Amino acid sequence: MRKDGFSGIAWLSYFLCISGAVIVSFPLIWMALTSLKTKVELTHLPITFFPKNFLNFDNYKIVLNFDISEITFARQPMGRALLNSFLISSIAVISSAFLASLAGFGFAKFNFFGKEFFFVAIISLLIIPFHALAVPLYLWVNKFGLIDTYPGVVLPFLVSAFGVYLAREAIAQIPNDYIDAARIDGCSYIRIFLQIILPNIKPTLIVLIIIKFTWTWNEFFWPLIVSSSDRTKVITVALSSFKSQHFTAWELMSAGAVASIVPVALLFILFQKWVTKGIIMSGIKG
Amino acid sequence: MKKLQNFEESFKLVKKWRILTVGVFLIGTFLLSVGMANTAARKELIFWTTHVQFPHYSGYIEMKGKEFARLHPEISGVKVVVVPYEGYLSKFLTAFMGRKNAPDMFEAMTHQWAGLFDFADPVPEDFLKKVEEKIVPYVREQGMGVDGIRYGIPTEGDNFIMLYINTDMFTESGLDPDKPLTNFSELLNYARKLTKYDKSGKITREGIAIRYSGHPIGITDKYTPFLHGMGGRLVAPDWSTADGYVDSPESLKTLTYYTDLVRKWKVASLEVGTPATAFAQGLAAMIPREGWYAGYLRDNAPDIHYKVYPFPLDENALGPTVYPMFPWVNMVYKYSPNKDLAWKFFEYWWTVEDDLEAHRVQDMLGVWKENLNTEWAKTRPFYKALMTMLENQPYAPAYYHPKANKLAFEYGASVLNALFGQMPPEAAIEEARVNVNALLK
Amino acid sequence: MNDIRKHKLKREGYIGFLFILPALIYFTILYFYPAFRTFLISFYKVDPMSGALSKYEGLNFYKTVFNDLLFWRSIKNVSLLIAFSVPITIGLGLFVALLLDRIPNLKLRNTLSLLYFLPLAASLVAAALIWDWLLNPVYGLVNSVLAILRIPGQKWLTDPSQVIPSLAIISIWQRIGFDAVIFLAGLQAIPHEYLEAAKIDGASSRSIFLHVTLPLLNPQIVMVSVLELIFGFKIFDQVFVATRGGPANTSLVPVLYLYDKAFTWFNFGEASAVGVFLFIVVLGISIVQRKFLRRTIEY
Repeated sequence: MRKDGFSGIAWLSYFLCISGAVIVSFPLIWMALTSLKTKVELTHLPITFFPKNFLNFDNYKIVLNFDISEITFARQPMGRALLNSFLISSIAVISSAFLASLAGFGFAKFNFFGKEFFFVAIISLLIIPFHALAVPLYLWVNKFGLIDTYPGVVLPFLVSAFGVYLAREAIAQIPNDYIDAARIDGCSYIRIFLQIILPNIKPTLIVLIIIKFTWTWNEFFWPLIVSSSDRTKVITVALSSFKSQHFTAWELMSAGAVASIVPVALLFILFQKWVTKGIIMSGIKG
Repeated sequence: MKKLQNFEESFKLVKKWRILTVGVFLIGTFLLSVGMANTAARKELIFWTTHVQFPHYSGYIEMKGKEFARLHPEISGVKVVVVPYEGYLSKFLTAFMGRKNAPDMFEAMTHQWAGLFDFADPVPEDFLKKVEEKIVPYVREQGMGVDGIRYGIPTEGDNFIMLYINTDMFTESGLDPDKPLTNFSELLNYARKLTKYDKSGKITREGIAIRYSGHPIGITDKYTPFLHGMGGRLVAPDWSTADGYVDSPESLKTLTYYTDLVRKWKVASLEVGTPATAFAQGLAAMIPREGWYAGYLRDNAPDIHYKVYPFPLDENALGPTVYPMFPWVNMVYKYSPNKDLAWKFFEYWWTVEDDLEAHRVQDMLGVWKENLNTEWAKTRPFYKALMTMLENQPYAPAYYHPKANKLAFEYGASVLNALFGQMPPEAAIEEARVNVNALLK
Repeated sequence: MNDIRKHKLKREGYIGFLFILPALIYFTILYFYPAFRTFLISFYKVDPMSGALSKYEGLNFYKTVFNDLLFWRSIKNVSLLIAFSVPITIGLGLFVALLLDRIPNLKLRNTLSLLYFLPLAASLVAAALIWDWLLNPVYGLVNSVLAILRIPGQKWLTDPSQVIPSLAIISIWQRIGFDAVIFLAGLQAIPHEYLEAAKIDGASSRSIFLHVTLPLLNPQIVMVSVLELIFGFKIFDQVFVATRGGPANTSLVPVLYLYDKAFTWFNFGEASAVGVFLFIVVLGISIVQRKFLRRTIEY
C-alpha cells in the first residue's frame, strides 16, 4: 500500500511496532514462566529467568486440585472455580444472545407504542454504573435466599443492553421481503424468528457471544459480594483469595492466573476477527 | 481450518464446534452439579474458618467429624470450609442473615457475633460445666460475651505475641542469642545492630519485622503489644472515651517509637515482604508473632534457627499482652437447624487427648489446663517464653466489646498514616482520638 | 404491496412488544428498579435482613459522606489515576495504531494486533496479580532489571507516592490494545483521496497527520476518551486485589470506598449515597461527550 520503499522510517516503525508487541505480551509470558517454578526458585535472589524444569506442572496440579494428597496452605479449589466460571459465563451468554435477539427483532421490525422510549431506556442502562446498583440488588438477592447460589451469581448477567443494540442494528438489515414472504406463507412469528432472523444475524451473534463470555468470565465485583463459599466461587474471586494477610503463594497464584487466562486467550486467538469487530462496536455504542 | 477456502464453511464449522463444546459442557456441568447435590444429600455439618494457615487443625476436625458420624449416622461427617480472611466479615454476615447457606459452626470472635450481632448460640448448660472446669485460666475470657455468657470455645492456648529471633543472625552480629532482650530500648539497639543495608541504603535484612500492610484491624492487633508494653491502652476501660487514652503520653511515645523504627532508625522495612514471609526467608532478624508461627516455620522454613522470648516490656507496662485482641473462638450458629448436633460434636472432642492432639498436629498449644504441663508442651519452642509471660505480671487489658473491630480499624488507619509518613505521629494520634470518640458515641 | 405491509406490521405491532417483553421485564426488575432503590436507600435507613426501608434520614447519609475526608481522598486518588493512565493509554494506543497501519502485510498486522490486545483476555484481577508480582520490590522482575541498569529498585505498589502510577501501569497495559484496535479501524476508514490530495498539495507528513488524519479521527478519539474516563472512574478490581486501597488509603478509590461502606461496615445508606454520586458523575461525562461528539461530527 505504501510505496516509500524500505526507508529508515519504515524500518523504525516495524521495529517499534514489533518490540512494543513483545513488551506488551511479556507480562503474560512471565506469569507463565513463574507458574513453572517452585517456591524455592521464586524466593531465590537474584531472581532466575527460566524455570529449572520447564515441565514442572506441580503448581497446576495443586491449584487445579488434581493433587489433593498434600495439605497445602492455599486450599483454593480453583478447579471448581474454573467450572463455575464456565457455567456462569455459558448461561449468561446463551441467555443474553437469545433475549437480546428477541428484543432486537421486536425493536427492528415492529412498530408499537413507546418503541423509541423503551429502546432509549434500555440503552441508557449502559450509563448506570453497576456498582451503584449493587447494594439493593444484594439486599434483594439476600431476601430471596439466593446468596451463594448459582442463580444469585448469574442474575445480573442474563441480558445485555449492548446485545439488544447490536441485535437491533443487525436485524434491521434483514430485508422486510423475507419476513413478508414468510408471513404470506403462514409462518408464525416465532418460526420467522428462529428460521429467518437468527440465521441471518450469525456474525453479530458471534460477536455478542464472545464479548459477553469474556466480560462475564472476568467479572469480579458481583461474584465477590454474592458467593461466599467454594461452591459457587468463580475464577476471579478464587484468584483474589490467594493473597492473604500473612503470605502470598506466588507459585500457586501464577498457575491460577494462567489457568484463568488461557480459555479466554484461546477464544481471542481463534476468533480474532470477531473480537476486533466487537471492540470496534463497543466503541461505537459508547 | 485455515485451508478452507470458503469462509462461510469454515465459519459454520467453527461455530458448530463451539455450540457442541458449550452444549457438552453445560450438560456435563449440570449432571455434575446434580450429582454433587445428591451426594450431599446425606448432609455434613459445615464448619467455617478463615485459618488458611492451620490446615492440620482443620484436618483433625474433619477426622473427628468422621468418627462422630459413626455415632450419628444422620450425618456423613464434618466439612471444614476455609473462607479467605479478606472480606470474611461480610461473607459471614451475609450467610448468617441469609440462613439458608449458613454454616453450622464457625471460628470467629465472640464480641462480634454475640455482641455486635446476635448469631452465636450460648454454650449449653451441661457442656458449659465441662468447659469451665477444664479450661486454662488465661484463655477463660476468650469466648465470653459482654453479658457474661459463654458463647464458644477458644481455639488457641498460645495466641499472644512473643518475640521470635533468628539465632544465627544474632551470633553473627555479636549479640548473645541466649540472653533475652527485656525492654524497648534494648529492642531498638539490637535491631540497629542486626539490620543490613545495601550500597544505596536500602534495607536488605531488617532488624525487626513489623506488620505494615493489610487491614488496619490487623495492624492494631500487632501494635497493641508495643502499646501495652509502654504503658498505654487503646481506649478507656469503660469504653466511654478516647480522651486521655488514645492521646496519652504513653500512646504518643509508642507511636513515635513504632514510626521511628521505620522512618528514623530504618530498622524495619516496608519493602522486604510481609513479616511472616520475610522472617521465614531470612530477611528479618526478629519478629513479634504468636505461637502458631512455630508450626509455620517448621513446615516452611526448617533451616531457620530461632528462639522465642517474651515480648519486651518497659517498667510502666500494663503487662504482657496475654489477651489477644482478636481471639478465635469456635462457636455454633444460633439459627442452625443442626445446632444441637453441632454442640454435641464440640463436646465429643472436648477431651484432654483430643485437645492436645488437635493442636499438636498444628504445633499449637491446646486450651486444657492439663495440656499446659505435658512433656510435649514443654518442648514447644515458645514454652519458656509463654510461661514467663504468664507468670510475670498482671495481664494487659482485653478489648472484647462489640465496637472492638471498629476501634481497631480507626486506630490502625492512623498508625498506618504515621508509618507511611502521611502525617507525623502527633497528628496521627489526634486523628485517631477524634475518630475513636466519634465511633464511641 | 407497501401499504399492505405497513398495515400488517401496524396491526401486529403488539407482537413486537411481546418480543421485547422478556428483556424489558428483566431490565426493569434487575436494573431500573434497583437504580430507583439505590436512590431511595440513600435517603432511608434500611433493614439489612429484609431490605425494607425504615427511618427517613433525609440528607444525613449524604452529609456524612461529603464530610468524610476519606471520600474526597478517594476522589482525589481516582482523579490522579485517570490523569496518569488515560492520556498515556490513548496516546500510546494511537501511536500503536499508526504503526500498525503502516504495515502492509495483513497477517503480520493481525498477529501484532492480537498481541497488543491479548491483555484484555486477562481479568483485571489476573492483570493486577501479574503486575503485583512483576513490581514486587524484592522478587519482582522489574526491580531486578532496574538493578542491572544500575537504577535503584523502587517500592512501586508499597509506597504511598508510587502506588498511583503503579496502578496506572496496570490499566495502561490492559487497555492499549483496545484503543489501538479502535484507532486502527478509524485510520483504515480514512479515504485515500484525502491523504493523496494533501500529499499532492505538497504537505509534509507531519502536517498531513495534524490537519487531515487527526481531525478525521476525532470521533474515535472523543469516544475512546469518554470510555477510558468512565472506565477509569469506575476502577475497582485491580485496586482491591493489588493494594486494597493502601498503603494508608493512598490508593483508595470511590468504588472501593462504596464497597467498604456497604460490605465491610454495612452502612448501606452511605454506600447508596456514594452510588448516586457515581451515577451522576458518569451521567455527566456521557452528556458532555454527546455535546462534544455532535460538535466534532459537524466539523
